[in-house]
Amino acid sequence: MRRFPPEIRPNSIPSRPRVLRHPRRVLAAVAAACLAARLLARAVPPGFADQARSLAAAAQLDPAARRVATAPRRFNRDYFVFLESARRALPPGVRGVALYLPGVDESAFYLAVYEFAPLPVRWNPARPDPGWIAAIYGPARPAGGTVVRELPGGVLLAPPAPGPGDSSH
Amino acid sequence: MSPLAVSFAETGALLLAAGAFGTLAARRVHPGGCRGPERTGWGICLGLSAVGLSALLASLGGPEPRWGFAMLVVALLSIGWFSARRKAADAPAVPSAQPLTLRPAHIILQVSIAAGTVLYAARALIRPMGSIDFLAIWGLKGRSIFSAGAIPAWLSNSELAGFSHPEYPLGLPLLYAGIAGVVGTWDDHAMALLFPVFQIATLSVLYGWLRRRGTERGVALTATALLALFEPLYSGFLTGMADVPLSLAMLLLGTALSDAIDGTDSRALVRLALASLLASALKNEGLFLSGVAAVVAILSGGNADRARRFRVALAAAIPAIALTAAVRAVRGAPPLRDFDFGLISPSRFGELLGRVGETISIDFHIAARAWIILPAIALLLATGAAAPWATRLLGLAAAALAVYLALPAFAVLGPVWLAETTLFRTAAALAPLAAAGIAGRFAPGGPARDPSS
Repeated sequence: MRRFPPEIRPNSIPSRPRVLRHPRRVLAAVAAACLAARLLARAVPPGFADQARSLAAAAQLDPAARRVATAPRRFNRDYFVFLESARRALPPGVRGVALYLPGVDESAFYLAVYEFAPLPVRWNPARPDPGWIAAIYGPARPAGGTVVRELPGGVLLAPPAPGPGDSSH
Repeated sequence: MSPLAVSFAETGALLLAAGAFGTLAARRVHPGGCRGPERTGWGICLGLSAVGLSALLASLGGPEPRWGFAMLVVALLSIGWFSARRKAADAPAVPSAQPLTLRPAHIILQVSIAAGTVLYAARALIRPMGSIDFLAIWGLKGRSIFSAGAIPAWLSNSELAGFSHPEYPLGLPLLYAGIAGVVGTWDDHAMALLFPVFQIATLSVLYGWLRRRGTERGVALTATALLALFEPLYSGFLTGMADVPLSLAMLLLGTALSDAIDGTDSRALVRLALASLLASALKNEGLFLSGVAAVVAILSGGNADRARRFRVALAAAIPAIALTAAVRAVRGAPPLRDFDFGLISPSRFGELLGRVGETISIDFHIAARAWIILPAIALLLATGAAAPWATRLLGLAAAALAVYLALPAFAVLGPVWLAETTLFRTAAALAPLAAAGIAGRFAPGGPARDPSS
């Protein structure tokens, strides 16, 4: 049997470091660490502290007012106040809302649709459907119709009743 | 207490109760002992489904949501009680729990999971839900159902409500309406609590399933921690939309599919059918994925015999098809208004080719934004070893991703519009499936184990 000098006996040969015995695991750990670092960098969105302060200040408000108070700065607060006022002033029995907005802003329309739910909303129709009410945002006041309520930033208007033979669409 | 705190407490109590009752009933669909994070995840889904069902019952002329929910809770508890009695009679073979040894790395990973859930809760609750899709689609429908006490007919009218996609399933809006109905008011801020709960359920199912299928604790914790920190899915922007609950339903579908194919337990087919139903009730992508699951079941080899594979395929497909058919019979079949599949006709082949080129370009452009995430995921995939039970989940995710990448070519408003507005978030919703599939590639391939161990 071959004899080794003590300094090179097999059981005295230093083994490879543990990490090198599992190179795939090491690579996986590196990939996971990179992924975690990238995800942590996105964990807190910019402006979060300001939003938290807005939320703390709005904690005493009802949900609708809280939405306005915590909304981003680009949000048109006057428009929201108009919508919320219109929603609270809707007469009973109304079947839908014809919304008249100056300019083209889809997000403003979607906010209105959400606010007026469960009533359907049309955006700038030629004329309101029968049983519907007109919510007009802005200073314009079309001729005809009855003012139901003056609102901050606009008006709720009941359209004139259709005449004989008048088509609603 | 401030009105905000009261709203959060009321909604939180409801979600907690729904999760607790659901977890008791989850004994029926999950074998093993009465503990385990996977069962908790399933339980949360069952409990929340009861809340949504209460709104559906009310909309069909049944009791008010709070009474409907109470009745459904009694039903859930009865199911759990019956299951517990039966299990006691059957003398279940629950293996004794192994001693819990935690390494420092495990503790760091657990802290990371906790940090991920806290950070997501902060992002989700910092302001009322208000993304465009929430206002125009999910929130609008939920608020309408709650306020009207029924599903308003105009929501199915493409001319009046086309922008809100009448072709989308109503699962999430019904859940919103159920929460508002039980609590008694519509508060779209407190309702956002639902989303961290979805995240917790997802993490629970991911960790529990990986452990049950033999994955080492460290690997399962790593996958769960990375998913908990996955901000592209768990973002403030997506809070209120259907992507987060769909990602949970898709994980349930994938794990149940793999269990059913391998025959891990007698309830796997029930779980698969439930997951197919949940996924299809949330989004059309869920319906698609249920179909893919059926195909995967049929094509899978391994130990599953042909008859069992066929049963698995049916369990995946039938609930999704039945639900979709029932909804279409009642509400009609509005077209997929975002897509123009007429492009497939030979006369428009040239136009389609141009769109395909545009789609490939925008897909690469969007993928480049995930410049660290994608290479890291690729490296994780490459360093694992093939494991059929995990590869099935990756197959589901890959099929969905392929469709998401290709669909912009058919977008009515053009490939760039659809890819920019949907690709990143729909792909992010595949993260739980991908996490389970990738982590499974690091499992030693041991026998299935009980979740309580």
